[in-house]
Amino acid sequence: MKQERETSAPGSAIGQYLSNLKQLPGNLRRSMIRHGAAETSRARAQAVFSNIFLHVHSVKVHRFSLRWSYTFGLGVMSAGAFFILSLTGLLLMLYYEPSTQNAYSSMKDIIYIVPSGRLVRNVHRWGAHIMVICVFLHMARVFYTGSYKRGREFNWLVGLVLLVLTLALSFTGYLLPWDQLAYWAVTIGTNIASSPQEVTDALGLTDQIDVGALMRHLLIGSDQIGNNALVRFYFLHCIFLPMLLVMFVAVHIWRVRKDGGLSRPDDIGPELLEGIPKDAMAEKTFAQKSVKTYSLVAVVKGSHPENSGAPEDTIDAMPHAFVREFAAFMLILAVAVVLSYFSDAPLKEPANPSVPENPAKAPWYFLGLQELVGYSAFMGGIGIPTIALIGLGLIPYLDRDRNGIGIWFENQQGRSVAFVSSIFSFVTCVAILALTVNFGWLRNWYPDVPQIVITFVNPGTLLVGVFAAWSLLTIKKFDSIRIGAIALFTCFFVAFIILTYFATVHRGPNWQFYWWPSLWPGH
Amino acid sequence: MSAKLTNEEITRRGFLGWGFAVLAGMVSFAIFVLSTLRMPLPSLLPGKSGRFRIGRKADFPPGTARYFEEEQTYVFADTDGVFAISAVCTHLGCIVGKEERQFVCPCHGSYYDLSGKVKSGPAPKNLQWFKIVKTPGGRLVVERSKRVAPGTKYLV
Repeated sequence: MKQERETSAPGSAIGQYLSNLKQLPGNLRRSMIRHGAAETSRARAQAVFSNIFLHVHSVKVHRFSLRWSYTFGLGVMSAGAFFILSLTGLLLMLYYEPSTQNAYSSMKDIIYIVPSGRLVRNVHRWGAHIMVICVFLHMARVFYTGSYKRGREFNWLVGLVLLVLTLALSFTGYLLPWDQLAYWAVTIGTNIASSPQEVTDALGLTDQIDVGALMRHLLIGSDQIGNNALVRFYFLHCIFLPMLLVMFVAVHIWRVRKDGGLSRPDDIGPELLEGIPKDAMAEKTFAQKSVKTYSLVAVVKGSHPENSGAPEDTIDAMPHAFVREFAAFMLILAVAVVLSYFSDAPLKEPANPSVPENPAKAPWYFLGLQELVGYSAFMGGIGIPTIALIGLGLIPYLDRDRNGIGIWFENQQGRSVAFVSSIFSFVTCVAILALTVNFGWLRNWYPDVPQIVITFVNPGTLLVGVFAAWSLLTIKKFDSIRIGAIALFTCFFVAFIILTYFATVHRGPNWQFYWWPSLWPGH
Repeated sequence: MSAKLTNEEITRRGFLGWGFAVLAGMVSFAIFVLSTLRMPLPSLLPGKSGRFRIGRKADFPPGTARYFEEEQTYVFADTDGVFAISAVCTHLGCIVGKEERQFVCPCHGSYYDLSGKVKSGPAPKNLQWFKIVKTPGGRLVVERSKRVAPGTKYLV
């Protein structure tokens, strides 16, 4: 091709000028993309590794990794949701004003005046819900397929950081409109951050080390919620947390690659690969007859080196993996847009520091926590989430068993333990909630009980204790740490769902129990 | 043991020369890091002062119960005197509402009696009592920044 370009130029400079002008589009394209059409395996590989955006992806992927029912595309969807959120967020930043004076009216402008403002805001809101759901389900998928093993331990920790960052982004996001939900969410969130005071007060240490006040001053830059708080949360939501998230996503994807691609079972039968395209060269074996004798460098099978097209049963990422990833992305984009047409993101009354909403409920993904916070601010808001995160982080370091990777629930035993544990968790949660709703807790029975006792002995900590005991029993009974981990994870996952449901449906004004929101007393 | 990468002698002059530069660099780096870490913590906390006038003593005959919405404070008067109780729930900072014989927090259902003592719910502490003082002009002022023990009243 190079030859052709040089020889085709006519003699005179002006002729060459015109000829170059004619060849401009082709030359521009060739200078940008140096490989030909992605028809050969080589060109397909080049298409991936010579592109800065694609090169974090491997050139070849294992055919098993393309199984929809293995990953459900949840990781790609989480990243895709973040991409949608970044774009819509940038657009919203053009009109949103982070001051307590104007934040609310700029939100009204976005909804009623800015062209497409309502749709973009709705997509941003729905994108956030989708991202939280995808991240939770992605974590469950990785856990239940044992994909945190064999070199993937660290990436499981990176994933936990991403989970926390996702939730932090959601939290800092829904308080920017400065409506009633926002104001009281900041109030409650800030007070949760200050809740170590509950412990230091009980120990009489608050005058010496006031961790709570330090956290509060760091978060809202004052003792009272005002402009400083909004500016800080705006900075966290739009700059600090997204930057951190991008960095950790880069590490996360990079490590997936370095840890050998997506996890997969050791023995992959043909039934698991049904319907997944095959490398055209996979059947062929290239053999080279020995033309000279070698000194012994390794013991290999056969009499001569062999090279088959795809020894690992891999396939070109371009286009097979990218098409599927793009499809997953388009799916969530479609879901977000369709939902946005039918359901508007809420905006409540302007923030009113004198009157809280009644009930003041957080978005669904924090309602489970809000139920726990209703027992003890410190344990519910800081203690139990920290215990849960530490527990999750320890899983790959306590379960060192190399078997069972890449298989949902590992085996029949794993399936039945997951099933029994979810029933156990369901029954325990309902029993403890029923007990609390009907009979109250320690303070109703012994009015003078010290606060420190309630902080550490409440329905939330009781649940954690019961689940821990249950998982230890499972480890002992089945003589397997992995089975115990499945029991524990299932308990927590089911409890999260039940607490979220309970707080959504059955908590009403003054955080009291109601069978149905329609039974709430009128205001 | 592996051989050393270099066999250069370290002279006293060289050590002191480089040592001084490295030490100065480390100290200035430490100062820089500490000062940048300090910056997000405000030294001056913006916001309202927390002092507000409530009127004269004669405005508070025994049996009075008034709510100062902006300051989130209840002011009561009985035969002993005038006293001020915070309306900010000690659990997570919502504003408690006053009922016939109790305060109720709408956020997580903490209940207090009318002296601010926790009756039930997750609140870790009793409602805060504030100091009431009289200005030279004879007006009563509630100081939200000065907390007093429950039962401390401005005597009539």
